[in-house]
This record gives sequence, C-alpha cells and structure tokens, in this order.
Amino acid sequence: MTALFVSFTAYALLYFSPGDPAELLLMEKTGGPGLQLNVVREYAEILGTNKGLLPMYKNWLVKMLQLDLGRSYRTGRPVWVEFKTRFVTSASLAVMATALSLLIGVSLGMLSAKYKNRLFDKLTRIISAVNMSVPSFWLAIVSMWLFAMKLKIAPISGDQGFKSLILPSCVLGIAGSAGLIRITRICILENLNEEYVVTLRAKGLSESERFRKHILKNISLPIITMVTSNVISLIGGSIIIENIFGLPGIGNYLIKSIQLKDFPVILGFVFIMSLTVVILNLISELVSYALDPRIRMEVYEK
Amino acid sequence: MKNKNDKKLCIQGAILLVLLLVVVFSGVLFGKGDVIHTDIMSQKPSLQHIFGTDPLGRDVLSRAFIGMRLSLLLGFIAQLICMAIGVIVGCASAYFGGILDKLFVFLQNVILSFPSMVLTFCVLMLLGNGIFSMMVALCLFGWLSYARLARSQVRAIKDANFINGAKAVGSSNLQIIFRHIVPNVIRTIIPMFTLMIGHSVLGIAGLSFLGFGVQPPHAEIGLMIRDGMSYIRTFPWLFIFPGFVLAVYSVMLNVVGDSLQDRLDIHDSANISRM
Amino acid sequence: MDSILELKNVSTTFNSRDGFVKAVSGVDLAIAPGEIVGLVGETGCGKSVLGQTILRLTPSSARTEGSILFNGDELTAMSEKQLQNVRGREIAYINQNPSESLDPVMKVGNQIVESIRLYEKISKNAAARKAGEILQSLSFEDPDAIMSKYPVELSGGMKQRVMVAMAMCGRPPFMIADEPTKGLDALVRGQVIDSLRRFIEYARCAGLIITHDLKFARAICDRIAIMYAGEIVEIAPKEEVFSKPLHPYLEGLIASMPQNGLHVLEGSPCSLIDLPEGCRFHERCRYCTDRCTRSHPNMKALAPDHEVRCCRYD
Repeated sequence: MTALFVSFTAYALLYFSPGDPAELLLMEKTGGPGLQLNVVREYAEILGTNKGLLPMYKNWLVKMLQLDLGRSYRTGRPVWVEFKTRFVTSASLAVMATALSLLIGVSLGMLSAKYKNRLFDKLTRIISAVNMSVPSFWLAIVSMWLFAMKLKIAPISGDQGFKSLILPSCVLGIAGSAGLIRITRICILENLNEEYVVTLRAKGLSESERFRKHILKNISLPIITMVTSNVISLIGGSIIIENIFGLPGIGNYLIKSIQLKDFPVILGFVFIMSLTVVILNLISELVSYALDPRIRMEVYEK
Repeated sequence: MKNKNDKKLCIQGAILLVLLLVVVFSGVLFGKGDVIHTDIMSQKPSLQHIFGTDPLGRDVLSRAFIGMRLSLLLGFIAQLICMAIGVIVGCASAYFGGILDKLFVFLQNVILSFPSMVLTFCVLMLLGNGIFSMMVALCLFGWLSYARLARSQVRAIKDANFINGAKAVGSSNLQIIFRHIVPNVIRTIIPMFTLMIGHSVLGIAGLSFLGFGVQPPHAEIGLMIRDGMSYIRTFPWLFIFPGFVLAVYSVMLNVVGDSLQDRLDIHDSANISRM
Repeated sequence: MDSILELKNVSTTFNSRDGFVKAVSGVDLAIAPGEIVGLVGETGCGKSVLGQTILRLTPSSARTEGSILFNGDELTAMSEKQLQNVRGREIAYINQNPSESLDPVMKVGNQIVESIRLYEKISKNAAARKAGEILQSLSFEDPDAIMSKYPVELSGGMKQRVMVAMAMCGRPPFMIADEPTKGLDALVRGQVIDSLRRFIEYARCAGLIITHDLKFARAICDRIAIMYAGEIVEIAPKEEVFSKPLHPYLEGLIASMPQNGLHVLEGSPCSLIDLPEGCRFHERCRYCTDRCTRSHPNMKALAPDHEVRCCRYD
C-alpha cells in the first residue's frame, strides 16, 4: 500500500512540473503578439508567475486543491463551471462506450475461445484485427453518413440529449471491443491449459461449472486492466469523436479552447483529465491488488 | 505447422510490399495530384475515375495514394527517431542498471499516466501547428514502447546464465554486446517497428484531420478526409475512399507486424494489455 | 477376488507437434479393493498418461482403446456427464505439480469446501468445519489459518497435502496419485507419505500411486508395477520386487538407487514416437540377444503374483 501511495504522490508532484514550464513558454509565446501582453501580465500576477519556480508550484497546487481553476478567457466563467456543464455528456459517452465494448468484447471473446479455430473464431479474429487498425475517426464519419444521413436512423446534430449519444458510443464501443475480444480469448485459452483445470476436472466439475466458478475469476484481472486502458484512451479519443459528432462535451470544448488559445481552460481541463488518468490507474492497481493474491505477495516481499 | 504460418506471412508481406510500391511510385503513376480539370468537377465514382473526383476536378484515387505517401513517410521517420531514441535509452538503462535504470522506470511510469492525446495537444499548442511540431509530439511518446521492449530484452539476456558463461570464458563486454544482445534486440524491435508505423500513420492522419498536423496545400490523407467531411451530404465519396485507403494501409501494416511477432514468437504481455 | 479397477489392453495415443505418440500400449492391470499398487517408471514412460486415461483427463486429442472396468462399469463407454459423477466421488485423482494445480485466486479452504459440497449436500459452514477436521488429521497445525490462505502463500509440501485433503473429501473407494513426492525434500516427503496413509485409512480405498521413486513405492504400496516405454514390464508384490527382480530394467533401477551405489543405467528412455522393433528395452539391455531385437515379448506369470515381460523368460 505504501508503495502505491508513494507513487501516486510522485505522479502528482511530477505532473505539476511540466505544467509550470508550459505556462512560462505560453507567456513567452504570447509575448509576440503584443495584443495579449497585458492579459499575460494579469495572468502572471494572478498566478504569481513573477515569483520563483517553487512558490509558483505551491501557489498553483494550493489553488488547485481549493478547486480554483481560474476563469475562461472566452466566456469569463470559471473553468470549473465550464467543465461541469460538459462533463455529463462526455462521461455518459464514456460509460456507454465502455459498457458496450465490455459486452461485445467479453462475449465475443468467450465464444471465440469456445469455438477455437472454427469459422466463428477465425472470422472474429479477422474482424477484430481490422477493427484495431481502422482509423476510428473515419469509421465515425462513415457511420454518421450511413446511419444518420442515408438511413436516417440516428440524429445528426449533437444536441438531442441521449439520442445523439447512441451512434458515437456505438462507434467507440466497437472500437474498444477489439482489444477486449483479443485478451478475453487469450486469457481463457491460457487458463484452460493450466494444471489447475485438470484438478477441477478431476474433482468432477462440469465445463460450465469450471468456467463460472474458477476461470471467470482468473480472467477478470487482465480484462479489468484492458478496460482501464480503454477508458484512458477514451479520454483522448473522445476528443476527436465529439468533434465529429458535434457533441457538447469536454473534448470538443478543449479543441475550441486550443484553437482560441483560451489558456485557463486548457490548463484546467488538461489538469483534470490527467488527474483522472492517475486516479484511474490507481484504481486499476488497487483492484489488481485486491483480486490477485500473487500481486499481494509481491508487494509484501518488497 | 510452421510452413503454413510462413506462407501466410509471405502473402501478407507481399501485399504490403505492393501497397508500398504503389505509394513510392505514386508520383510516376499518378502525377502530382494537383492537376485541376475544371470540366470534371465532383464526379461520382466511375470507370475512368474509380474513386470519383473532387470539387477541383482532381482524381480522388490518385490524390489518396499521394496523400498516403506523405503520411507513410512521416510515420516512418517518426518511428525511426522513436526507435533510435528508445532502443538506446532502453539498452543503456538495462545494461548499466543502477540509478539510470531506476530513473528510466520512474520516467516511464510518469509518462504512462498521462493521457497522451491530451498532452499531444498541449505540445502542439505550444509549438504551433505544422509538421514539425506534430513530429515532436509523436516522438515524445513513441520512444517509450521501444525503450521498454529493448530494456526487457537486454535485462533478460544480461541475467541469463549464458552471458555469465561467456564472461567466465573471457569475452569482453563489447563482444557480449555484439554477439548476444544486439541480435536479440534487433529480432524483437523490427516487428514492433512495423506495427508502430501503423500507429503513427493513424496518429498523423488523425492530427491532420483535426487541423493540427499537416497543413494544406500538402496532400495528406487526414486532410483529405477532413475536407471530404464538409461535403458529407453531397459528395460522400470524397471522404469514404481516402479513409478506406488509409484503413487498408493501416490494416496491412498491423497484420504484417503482428504476423512477424507471431513468427518470431514474441508476445510481451505488456503489449497485450496495452492493445 | 473381484477387482475394483480392471484395465484390459488399454492404449492411449495422441498427436503431438513432433509426431504420433504411443504413450500407453496394451496395459493390463487389475487392482483389488483395498490394495495399493505402485506404478514406477522414469519420466516420459507414459505412467502419468495412464493415470489420466482412467478418468479421461487426457487432452482432447488423445485416443484411448481397451477396457477400463470400475466396479464392473465400463468407464470408456461413459458419457462426460456420467464420468463427472465418477470423478472425485468414486475415483479421486491427485494431480502432479501441486504448485500449479490449485486455483491461484481462490482461498485454499474454499477449494476444499467446494470438493466437500460436490459430494454431499451440506451447508457451507458444516463443510468448512469438516475441511478443518480433514486438515487437522493430516497434521496441519493451524487448519483455520491454512484455509484462509491462498495457494501462493503455501509451501510445496503444504500444497501437496492440501491436494490430498481435497481428494479425501469424497471418501472415495479408489484414488490415483500422480507423483505425489516429486520435487519435495526428504522431511516433507515423510509428511506427504503420512498424509497418503491417513487418506487410505480414512477412506479404506484402493489406489494407484504413480511415481519414479522406488523407495517411496515400497513404503506405501502392496504391489509394484514397473513401466517402460508405455508398457508394464514387470509386476510383483513389493518385497519380491526388491528380492527377486526379473526384468533387466528393474534390476537397473534398483542398482541405481543411492543406497545400492548409484550405478548408472546406460542409455536414455526410448522415444514414445519412434518405438524400437522387438523388445522396447533391448537397446539398453545387457542381456540383449538377437531374438530381443526381433520379437516383442508378452507378459508372462512366473509365479502366481509375479509377471514379467522379457524374452529371457518366454
């Protein structure tokens, strides 16, 4: 546990330092178009950048901890508010996509393992391989064209609440399922070759009993690791998808902010997103710790 | 059994080779791609223009391959740089161990915790749009996988008994490096390289699509898709086909890279969970 | 005397990457109720495969021929479902390699409880208590502590004894133990032998003990069968195995025991893919004659309980 905690603090600490030079560089950059010079100065004063490096860290850190992320240049509203209003959209997208990818991924992976090397398995693996290589943004556009415009099944614009989330979450969900199919299949097959399965058969357990009571638990750890990595890449990937589908989410807003050089928003959002990633990683580590006694042993031995 | 896999690999490799050749010689085959024919603007796919034409009368098929060329070239260069950095860092870290190694592991953990997309945008924002900043951003994260792989390979061999055996017999450090470590590292890095080119090509296309990477008037596949998107209602072939071409190249790169890995029996479990 | 387990002309073959493996060839064996028979041979002679064949625990690509009668029922004719009822309940199988043979993410206690509840309808708590009792009878000092541990936290010897405990649960009339002392040091081996003895006492069972360790076989078995290249080459009551060894391979095995001077038996076990012509042992046999290279000997009884497969006695 201590190791986890130490690494977390280390991550958090180190995280802050890149942010700092970034600010300095930004300052340098905007020193060019004199237009924004007074803004920069004001900004510098607010954040106390005219002080040394360390006090600046502290300042920022303190402010962050107080959830004070500054105000957007564009709208003048607190960054936090901007984030909150868009959070629901992005979060629901992420949740739906993850749920879908889990559903498709794990079930197809299981079936693929069961019918190993038969037609179903081969087809699934080919489709999965293609899925992993195809550019997701293109797939998104194609599906938008196909389903929204041609077949008129889903709404086109992004502001119809739940309905407009269906298509993008499907796209993301299918993209995410590829990795899950692969890892579910591999893990099941690996486990079936393990000695302990022979013991289970020798005890008299049927195939479904063996799967339900034992193999399922053994594969849950790698699957959770994969889901975590999927979610983390969703955080990045949703940026593009939100852009394409015109969804009022965090990613979309971030892109607009980057284009308009809305610094507080950018910094604040990036910070929150990175923090989320750190937290997700931490959760994933904790979960592996809880699920697999072998990992616990390794930690003890340190 | 091994022969069947070998045959598969050969076929896949051949397809990829053909694709690459098309791209390399696209200049000869297709011309520069910005020849404007005002009389055949925005035509639907037909026998003469298999992918149709764009609003400026340019043949989409030719443009797609030419656009691919830039993406592939950039992707290749980016990965080359990443590979160079990564392998050197990884090997050094593993071979010399100690503080250097610990530093690397720490750095690795830190970098991995960031959503790379988000930070890529930050870098792009700092350095402005354009090819150079895009390459920098890509290289910033790309070297890590190589370093990790190189390091694990070197560590595995370094601690293997036969190295101690070699030392006992009196081989110098340099001999050990060249005779044992280098071949093994090369063996595992090359398939990874093939795979990663696919990733970086997609990344370049994606960034260009968003407007952050390659800028017009360069022909790049991501740009083409984005341009095509504005005509989504009217001329859908403008984005469908370039994307399709990109998909084909990406799939072939990944497939060959994967098969190479299978062939050489390399399956890093970290890779599995990453993918 | 009715045998509890009777094998008639049992052969097991399967396809492997390197070729067609004839792991077990024409094995005849009859085990009486309450009798413990040892199956001794070098690594790779097919003895583990024979153990697995009885309960059809072999990999799916394996083909088995011959008859396996258990209490009069033909095991080879049973469906998978019927066989599941036999496994564990009637015939218990203790896997080799206990380090890998337990579910790594499940507590040891729960795994024993699972076994118990498979064979009788009792509550989880009652099963847990029974598990504790069984562990105690196997000389575990703190059964409750052991039950709450995961396999990774136990030593090799403890895991082996846990496997014995799991097999005991159903009080089966027959047990098969595959290399129960492999890889264990002398002290722990004693504990395992002890556990097996208690198992046999508790369940009053007959058993087939598969091992490469002659000394271990002598300690626990009534009869010992020697296996080579997939065949049984000699079978006799345990004392006769040591006092009157007939087959040259057995002679070699005895001579190679530490207390007898560790005399090396020349050559290496023959491959189960490329079996030699004639007697399968002839390449390593010091009595080898021309006849041995041509004709394949059958098992012959030289005394009521002592059979051997060798050209010299044909």
